[in-house]
Amino acid sequence: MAADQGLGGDLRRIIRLAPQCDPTSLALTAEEGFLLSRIDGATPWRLLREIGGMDADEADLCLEGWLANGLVEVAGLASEEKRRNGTKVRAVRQRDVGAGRTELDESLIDAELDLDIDVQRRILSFELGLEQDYYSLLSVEKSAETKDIKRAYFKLSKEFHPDRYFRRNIGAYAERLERIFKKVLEGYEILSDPDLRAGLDEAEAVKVEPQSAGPFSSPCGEPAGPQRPLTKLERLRQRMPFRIPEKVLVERRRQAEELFKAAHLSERSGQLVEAASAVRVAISFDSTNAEYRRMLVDLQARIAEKKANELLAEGTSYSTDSTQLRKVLRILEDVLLYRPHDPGINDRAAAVSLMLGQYKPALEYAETAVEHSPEVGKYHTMLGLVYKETADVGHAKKEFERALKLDSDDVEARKGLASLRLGRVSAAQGG
Amino acid sequence: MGRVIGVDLGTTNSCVSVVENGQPTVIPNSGGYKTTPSMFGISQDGKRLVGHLAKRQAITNSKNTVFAAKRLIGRRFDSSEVQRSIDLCPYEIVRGPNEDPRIKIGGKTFTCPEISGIILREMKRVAEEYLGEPVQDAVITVPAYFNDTQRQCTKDAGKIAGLEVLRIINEPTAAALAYGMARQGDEKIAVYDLGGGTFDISILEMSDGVVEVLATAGNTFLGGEDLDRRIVAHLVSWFEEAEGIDLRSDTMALQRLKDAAEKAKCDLSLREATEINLPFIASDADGPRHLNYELTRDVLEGLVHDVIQGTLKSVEQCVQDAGLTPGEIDQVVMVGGQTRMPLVQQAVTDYFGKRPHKGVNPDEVVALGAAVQGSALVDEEQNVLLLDVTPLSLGISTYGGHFARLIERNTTVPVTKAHIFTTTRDDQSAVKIRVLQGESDIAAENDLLGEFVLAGIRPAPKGEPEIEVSFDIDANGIVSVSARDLATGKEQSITVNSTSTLSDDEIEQIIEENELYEVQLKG
Ligand SMILES: Nc1ncnc2c1ncn2[C@@H]1O[C@H](COP(=O)(O)OP(=O)(O)OP(=O)(O)O)[C@@H](O)[C@H]1O
Ligand SMILES: [Mg+2]
Repeated sequence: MAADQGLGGDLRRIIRLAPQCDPTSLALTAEEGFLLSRIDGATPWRLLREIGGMDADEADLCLEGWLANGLVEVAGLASEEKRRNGTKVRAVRQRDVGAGRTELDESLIDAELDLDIDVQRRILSFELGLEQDYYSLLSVEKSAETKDIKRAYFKLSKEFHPDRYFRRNIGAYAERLERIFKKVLEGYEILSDPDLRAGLDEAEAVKVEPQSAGPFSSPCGEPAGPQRPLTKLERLRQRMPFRIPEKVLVERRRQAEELFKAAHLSERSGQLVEAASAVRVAISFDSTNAEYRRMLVDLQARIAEKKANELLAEGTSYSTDSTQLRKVLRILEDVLLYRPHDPGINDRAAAVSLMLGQYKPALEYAETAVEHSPEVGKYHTMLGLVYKETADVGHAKKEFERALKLDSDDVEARKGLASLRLGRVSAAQGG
Repeated sequence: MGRVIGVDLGTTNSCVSVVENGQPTVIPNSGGYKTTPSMFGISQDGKRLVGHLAKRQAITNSKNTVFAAKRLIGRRFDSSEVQRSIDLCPYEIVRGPNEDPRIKIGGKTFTCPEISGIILREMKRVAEEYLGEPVQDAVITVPAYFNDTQRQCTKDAGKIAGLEVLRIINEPTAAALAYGMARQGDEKIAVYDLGGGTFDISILEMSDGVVEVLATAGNTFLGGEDLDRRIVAHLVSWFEEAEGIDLRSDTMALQRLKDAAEKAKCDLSLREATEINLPFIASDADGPRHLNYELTRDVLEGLVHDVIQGTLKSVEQCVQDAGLTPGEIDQVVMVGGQTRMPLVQQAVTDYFGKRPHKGVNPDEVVALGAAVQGSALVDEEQNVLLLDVTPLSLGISTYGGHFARLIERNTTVPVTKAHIFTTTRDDQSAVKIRVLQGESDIAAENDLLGEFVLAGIRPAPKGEPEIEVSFDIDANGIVSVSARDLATGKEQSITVNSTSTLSDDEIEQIIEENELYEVQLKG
């Protein structure tokens, strides 16, 4: 293989993201994401395979795959080659020339559409420059005042706002317009906010990437608060769902299958955590396999359940510790995320909620348990206890009685019934 | 291609307009009126009446005449607004199967979108008669503070009326469009809209045909009718004192009082005093009694002063939200019949330190603007662009029941906003994304639009996983939300369907039923 030839291709090639890439979304590994983020229409292939965070061969494979399925396209050749090929391309307006983005893909122009060819060209060429800095995007000076920025924004809006082409047959240009307008809006919002603008200018000056996630607070099933604006890579990922090359996929599927087998072995020997992590890796190799995901969900549920059981067992000894109880409840809730109808888990969640004095969830859990296993006496007992706590004597009585009918040895139910009678007596005395 | 009509579907009056030769024009109805009462009734002999005909029978047949249905649309039966209407309205409001308020008149129960649909159909008919061609497309206006459900129900009303609703836009925005299309240069304007049932204030900036909404505020349950009620209450207690008769449970008398109060109120916009004369308003053992009362502007202003002052609070908030001071507003545009009241004019003048703009007709400007937006969409020649905004904030619920806004209200659409969230406990393997709309910092106080779970997050210490939540609103206002685990690339997403109080089947059924009445409506 010649020095400048990668896997059957020229290492001087400069590639860029295709504007109309296939939206079939597939998982993206961190490495692939990083590689993708380096593609800027200026960096040649030779450099990409060095800085991509994976083996050069792997990077070649990856890039070739993307090229083959249209996620990326060749923008030109590095240095002298470019000038020779560049002449036939229609001149792009100065303001639209971003770093390395020079060529407009004439094949995207469609005379059938209800959209002037010139307008199509304008849209395409503007889109090529979308990744420029906001000042260039809006064609304003770095020193521009807010009102100039607003004027520029209004002007571009008039050109690119999707409403300008309402109901017209403009094909893929509809999405392009939306993309362009959103980007212009983003630029306007940032540049017209003095704080954001100052931050941006500062970042530009020292060329630092946006910071990664800061410290967070708090525990529960819901995410913690917003952390930070997106990095460029993240924004890229957001916009560019893409396909992994077939060759790579086949290899990954094979690895995934092996990991899956290993996971089964671990599972059989009771090593649930190990099994889960093996499946997880398998999924990162092949995210399309539903079987893997089912297994992972099942494993996670069982792990959570086991943890809940352990904590619960500890909990009985000092059941008044509400922090402990809350922890147990959270884990149970986690399990319920996977198995919302499991009567056993619901029953336990009801018990813990009840201990915590959270009657409404307790009632819901207890009801779910009874609903899905009406033949089990102790679930009725639990529901009865919840009713009793919420002073719903009629329902409590009914549930305890039902529990005793199903299981005449149910001590809790018997106790519950007795206490109800007691309660009524004392109430009668009191009244 | 058929033309797009603009409809101002008001609480008390509706108005329809169309762009002709580049200029928006109000279309008069067959009686020659430029506005049509937003009323629907069923006569004693079972005929369906709309507009002026319905208004005519309101006094004699108030139980079977619906007015101000806009106050009910898209609300829940148990909401305080609906409960208040139940106390105030002579017609019967019942609980619908979807927990929505429904209106029972003439032995039949109507949904609110259906009532609005009947009024819209009338406006469509008025336009068709005038244009001599069928009309299909419409832009309809709603108060800026209408939420998602209220907007969706208004869309459904359009569907029931046989209209394709191209856009729902805000009333003050429409007013600004109508005002601004004739203007050149840059201007910041405030639109103060006090109609029959809603108060809206918006600050907009316009330049060379582009209209940008900077901020909106308001109250969907405050308007001219509240002033009328103050007057009625005043008259009732005066009558009770003078004659010893309580009129509060006499629906017929109350309806007459309401009518007279509104007339007197309008009179007092021009005069200092007016006579209220209601012969035979009641009778007792001593025979019939007449109500004869002179209402002065001073007394009226005393009765409603606080209501008008209340609107200024919203104005202040709105100016602040826009990042401006009152002095920076170049022009104040007054919209809605109630702004004819001198007290309102004065309050607004005092606040902004300048007299409101005189050039627009407060009853027509909203419909005109709706027509302008309609033609801006379909007509390439029309050099107007509205940079519309989302009416309410969108976000998700985070730990501790907090509401994290991803898209603030008044954000220009189309737009995409993303943020990184993280887990809140060690080895958390799933997060639940609850999509909410509203202005409260407490998640539970906002409306839940949808929810989903992103599972399969790699075990890691809390705060380590990075979950990117992204909100997208497209040019047609459709919201979609996705969550992605940046480590695994796993993603879940939903498209948030606007919730209506009606299902598609119900709408179809209503359309069919109403077709039967088409002939009657026309006749
Ligand atoms: N000359 C006047 N002086 C005072 N009030 C008036 C005058 N003319 C009309 N109004 C009041 O204006 C209100 C109706 O205004 P308008 O027709 O703008 O409301 P709407 O558009 O139907 O309602 P909304 O915009 O709240 O949905 C009524 O309360 C009416 O009494
Ligand atoms: Mg109005």
